[in-house]
Amino acid sequence: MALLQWLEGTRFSDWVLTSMIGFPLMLSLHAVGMAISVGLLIALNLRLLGLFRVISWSFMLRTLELVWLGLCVNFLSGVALFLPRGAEYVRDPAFITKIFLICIGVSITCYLRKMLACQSESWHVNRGVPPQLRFCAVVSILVWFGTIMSGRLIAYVGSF
Amino acid sequence: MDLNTAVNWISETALSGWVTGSPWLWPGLETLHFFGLSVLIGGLVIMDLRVMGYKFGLPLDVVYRIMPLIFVGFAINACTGFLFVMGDPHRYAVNYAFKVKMVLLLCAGLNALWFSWKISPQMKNWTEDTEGSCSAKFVGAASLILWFGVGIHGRLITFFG
Repeated sequence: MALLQWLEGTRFSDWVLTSMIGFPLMLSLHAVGMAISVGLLIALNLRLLGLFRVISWSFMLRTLELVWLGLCVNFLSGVALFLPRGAEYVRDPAFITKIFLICIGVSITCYLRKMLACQSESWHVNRGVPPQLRFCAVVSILVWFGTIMSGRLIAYVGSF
Repeated sequence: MDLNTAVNWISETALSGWVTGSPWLWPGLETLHFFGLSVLIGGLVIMDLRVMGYKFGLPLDVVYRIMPLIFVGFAINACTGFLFVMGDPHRYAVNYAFKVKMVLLLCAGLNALWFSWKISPQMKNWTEDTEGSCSAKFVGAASLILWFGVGIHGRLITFFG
């Protein structure tokens, strides 16, 4: 807690909170990173569920590179948004839920990436995508939707 | 009818009262608006990169197959966005970022029309290996830039009122 309070007092935290561009810039980056990573993950998961069959698995693997890029942008902009209010955020149920969901979402994405990389060759000849991966795809979509929702609710906590 | 009269009239409609009436509805609509933005951008990135000539092993057909996803994202955001304006017209009528967003949205719409009138017919003659024309590259790049601009200015509505 002392560390979080110290971080709130740093010049960087002060810049994010009080400068003209700090907070809007970080929030804009956070929205752009979200759109890229969640958007491409939705496309990937829908592909696993049987839509957009025109898109090859090798392309889907490549889009994951953009997904990681988006997630990195959001990690960095997220840290910048967290530092000025860390002590408050770590007690915020919406924030805790969001971090929890991100951990699940990233884990599922890592698992799907691994499966795509080593198994997708055989999905053409067999019966297509295995049921457990379709299940993961549904969970992934719900988890990222939940992440967006809990992220949005951080702005409202205390006001209900 | 001037803007003030319109804004006052909107704010007295039943729909406006409904949008602002429940404390959960507004954040719920915002969540859908963010989700719709993601769906829209995800589809657009794939489509526009292919139109611009980045193939990544994708068939040309992907441009048309991915379009429904983009339309779904846009439809979610058009509906939720409409409800925001109905709910709080006074705020949007004077908001600088919102005005810029609407101008960018109009440009993105015109760019999409240009795609369907000029670029899409060209593409019928393309093979999988065709290096797209300059105008196709321009339209694809403009689409990405304009839509990211729309998203960013939407986010800035909170700050530049």
